[in-house]
Parts: sequence; structure tokens; C-alpha cells
Amino acid sequence: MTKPVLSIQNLSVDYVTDDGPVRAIDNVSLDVMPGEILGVAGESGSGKTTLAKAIMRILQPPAVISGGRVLFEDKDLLQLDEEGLRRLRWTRMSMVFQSAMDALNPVISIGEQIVDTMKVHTDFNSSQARDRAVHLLEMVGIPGDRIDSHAHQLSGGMRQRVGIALALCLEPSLVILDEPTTALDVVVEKEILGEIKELQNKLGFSVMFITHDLERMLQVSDRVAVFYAARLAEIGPAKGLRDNPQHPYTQGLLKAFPSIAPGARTPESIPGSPPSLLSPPSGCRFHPRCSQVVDACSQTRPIRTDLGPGHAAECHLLSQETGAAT
Amino acid sequence: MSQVQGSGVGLWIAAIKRDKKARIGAIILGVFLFIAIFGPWLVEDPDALVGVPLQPPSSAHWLGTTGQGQDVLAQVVVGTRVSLTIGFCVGIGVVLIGALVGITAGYLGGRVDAFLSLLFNVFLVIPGLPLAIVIAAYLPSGPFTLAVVLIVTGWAWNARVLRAQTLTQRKRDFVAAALVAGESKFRIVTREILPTMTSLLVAQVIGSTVYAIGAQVGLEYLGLGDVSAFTWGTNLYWAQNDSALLTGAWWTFVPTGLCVALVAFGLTMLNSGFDEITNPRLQLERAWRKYLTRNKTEATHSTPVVITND
Repeated sequence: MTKPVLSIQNLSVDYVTDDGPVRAIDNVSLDVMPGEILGVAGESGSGKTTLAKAIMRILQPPAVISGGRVLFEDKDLLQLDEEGLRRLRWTRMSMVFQSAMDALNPVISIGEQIVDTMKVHTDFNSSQARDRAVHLLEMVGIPGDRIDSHAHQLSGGMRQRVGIALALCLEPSLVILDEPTTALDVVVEKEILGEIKELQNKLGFSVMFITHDLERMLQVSDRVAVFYAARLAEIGPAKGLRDNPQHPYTQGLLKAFPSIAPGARTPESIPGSPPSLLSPPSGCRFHPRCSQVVDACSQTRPIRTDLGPGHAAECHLLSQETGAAT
Repeated sequence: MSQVQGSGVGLWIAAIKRDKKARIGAIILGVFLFIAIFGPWLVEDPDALVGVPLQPPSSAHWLGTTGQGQDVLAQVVVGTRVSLTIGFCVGIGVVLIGALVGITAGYLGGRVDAFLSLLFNVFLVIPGLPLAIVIAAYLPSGPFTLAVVLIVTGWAWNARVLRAQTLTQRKRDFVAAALVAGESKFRIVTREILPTMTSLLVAQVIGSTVYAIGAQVGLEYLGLGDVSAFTWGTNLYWAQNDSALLTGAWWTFVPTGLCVALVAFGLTMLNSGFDEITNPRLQLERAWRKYLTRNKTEATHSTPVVITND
């Protein structure tokens, strides 16, 4: 069995407030396999971005990582010091932010920014780095002669592509995409996602892809992790999750998306709204909104139940079923 | 929630209570304000010749007597009122004028900006204290003159800083949104842009007040104030006039000097607590730092790892 590139084990993240720590990631475990695209879905505030930034250890105050291990290429990222993290960041793992297009320096040309990034971490000389920058830009669909353009001369979609080129420039083994296309229109989004998928095929890096667009995610990802209120509700192969979702929340989420297929059912929403993490519901956090609630739901936290290769969910219904089966 | 919420005076008081340095500053300033308001009624007439000149501190005269045989304590206490009044008036005055000119220039831009920028740039290159000395020498001496002199020579720097700050704010989306919502220019400046500068304005008032007190004492020490009035500056003027240093009569100038230093110290301390009010992020960081200290973890650039067993 292949070893995962990234293995998150029982990770917890707290935001410290005056009233004590608030848990924003609660005991989450998941693996990212080599060459895999893992989608991370969930409502706003469910912990998707917090998870991504916790992996990179770039969460700003008042965040602290309060437990668990993050194993990346045999190193525990939670044990590394600043220098160790600096070496790893961007060379082995990189990130495209939702606002990557705004992260470009307005007074330095995009080529120079890519060259700078490469020169920090490699011993490329300027002309080698520049050649590679041209190559990278062409890879993400920007003509190489735009290398001396400045950010304001490019459209939002192009700037986002520059962000992706920057993330790929050191050939990392893991690229975290934090809603990379949310600020773009659907046409550009589709193009960019297609390019990412193509690049990923060609270069073989792993991707952790965060979005709240479940439909899009199911198209792009190999596996999908669904977050609800700081916990992992369900994780499984994209196809299996779409055709046969196990967790009631995943089921509800899938029903809530409209389909453009003719004769499709009308979308149904999940009643209620996500809980406040300041005072989360007892037991299973989804139970106040769940349509299939049983007694245990409000009592105890459901344990993770394995449902097949790479497929698991935290739900009392499932643990009872498997409990009955064995 | 112990986090600062709401608005107005309560917010500032809460900020002072929370911050140790601000508390110290507030206490020091409170004592001086009390002296400034009630002091003159609590001590004897500072002008009265009450004893033998240049007596060191004793039970009869706690801070000794001056070269004229007046009570030093009475002079320091009575001097507090005028010195602080001028200090705060100048501090607030220069920031008001600076804000008016700076924000107007920054927001309106164009010719108005060119003219106003020229104006404060001219004032900036004129050396402040020498100009103050020249003006003070020509105008009739007195506290009011001093205040005017210090305001005229002190406003330009504030205007420049606030113009720059306005320039960074006026292109922000929230200003564009206010414009689209139909708000008037005046309202945009006063309700949208000005509140983003609150902590800067407060810091400027405090800094300018410290400057004003120092400059005013300096001018009076040089004899450019009203030497028959009782202020900290004239106290020092008379101490010098009576050769206090030569005769070793330290009690005639040390108390006044200490008062100037203490007020400046108190104001600076107070300022440190105010940053948090307009920067809510700093409030969050405070809780975070406390939490890290409690768990013996260093605040690092990367997200710190704090494993607790609860």
C-alpha cells in the first residue's frame, strides 16, 4: 500500500478568545495520497480554510494548534521549528489562496515575482529562473511574452493563474487550493480547474482542493472530505459519495444542489443553519438539523466508521448498522 | 464578553482598565488633573513671601523656599493649572487644525491639495522653536500668546500625516460604497474616514500635548512667557534667575522638572492602551498571548502548537 503524502491525525485547532479557546477543527484525521486530488467541502465556517492554513502552520493569532499530528513526507509539521517550516513551505507544499490574485505585488512584474520565489529556494541563476517562469506561465495558459506585465495589466482570471504558476514553480508534492476560483466567473473557473487537473496529471503532485461548490468538487476530485461544524462528517471516493452518500449531512448537501439535467428533482435545503462553535450541540453536531435522528445522536459523539476503501463517516446510524452486521 | 464593545467614552475607559500601562498613565494624569483643578485652593498664595529665601525642604515648607522667599510647593501646585491647560489646548488645537487641513487636502485632492500641501510644507521647513521664540518675543507675553505660538508652529506635521492617511483610505471600497449610497462629502469624511483614524488622532493629541508642555516650559524658561505668572516654566526661569544651580538649591527646580517628566510619562503610558480600541485584532492577540504564556509556549511566527489535555 502506498504511503500518503500528507497524513493528518487527530488534528485540533483552537481560536483563543477572551472566554477561552473555541475549537475550529475538532479531532480530524484524513490522508492525502500521492497524485490524488482530495476535495474538502463544507459550509462557510466549517473549518475548511482553517484546516488548510493549519497544515501550512500559517494560521494567524488568535489561532493555536491544540492537538494531533500532521505528517508530511515523514516529517511531523507540528514538531518543526521556523527554519524547518520555511524550508518546506513552497518547495514541498504550496498554496493558492482565494485571493491569490490580490497577493501579487503591484509594482513588481509577475515574472520577477516568480523568479524571486525560485531564487529564494533554489540555486537557479536569473536566466534559468526566467526561462522557467516563461514556461510556467505558458503552462497555466498565459502567453510567455506577458512575463514583464504588472498585476494591474492582467484580468482577475489571469492573476489567479499567476498565483497557480507561483504555487507550482518549485514543483511541490502537495498543492493546497483554497477556493482558487470562487472569485472568478464559471467559464474561467472551468478553464482553470481543467488546467489544474491537466497539470496535476502531468506533474503528479497531490492536491487538496477546498471549495463550497460540491458539484464542481465531485467532478474534479478523486476523493472528497465533507466538513460540518469543525468535524469531518464523511470522507470517501467522489463517485461513491455522489451516488451513495452515507452521512445524512452529505445526503442533504447533495440534495441542496440544483442539477441542470432535464427532469431533475428540485433542490431541497437542509433546515436550520450551522451551529455556533462557541456552544456546539452535544453529541453529533448535526443532530438538531438531521432528518434521521436517533436517541444516541444528542448523547455521544459518533465514532468514525469505515465504510469501504478510503470511505468513512462519523454517524450513529452507520456505526449501529455495522455493529449489527458484525 | 470582556472584549471591548459599544462605543464612546465607555470604550476608552474599558481600554484603560484592561491595559496595565494605560492604567498607570491614567492614574498619574488623574493626580495631576486633580492638582490642576483643586490645587490652587489647597495651598497658600504662591506670591507671598513666607520665609527666609532658599531654605531647603522642611516641615514648614515641604519643598523649601525660592530665592525670593516664596513657597516652592505652592508655586509648583499653582503652576500646574496653567501649564496643563496650555499643554492640552495646544495638543488638541494642533490636531484639530492638522486634521482639518490634512484631511481636506487628502480627500479633495487637486488644486486644494496642492495649495494646502504647499502651506504645511512651508510650515514644516520653518524650524519650530526658533520661530516660536521670535513670535513670542513680539507678541504681548502671557499664556494665551504661548498657546497661539505653539499651535502656529506645531500643526503642520499632523496635517501631513493625516493627509497621507486620508489618501490611503479614500480609494478603499467602503468609501466608494458610501459614495454610491449617496452620502455627502462631509459625511464621508466625518463618518467614514475619520473613525478609521481615531487611534492616530489620539496618539497625535497625546504626542502634541507632550511637545506643547515641553516647548511651553522651554519658552517660559527663556523668559518669553509672562514672568509674573505662575507656571512650571516661570518657576524654572526664576530658579535660574536666582542662580539655583550655583548655590545648589536643587529644590527650586527639581520638583517642577519632575512634574513635567511625570506628565509626559503618564501621557505616553496612556497612549499604549488606546491602540487596541480601533484595532480589534490587537484585542484578540492579547487573549492569545495570555493563553500561550499560561501554557508555556512561545508566540512564534508560525502557528504555535499547544497540546493541552482537556
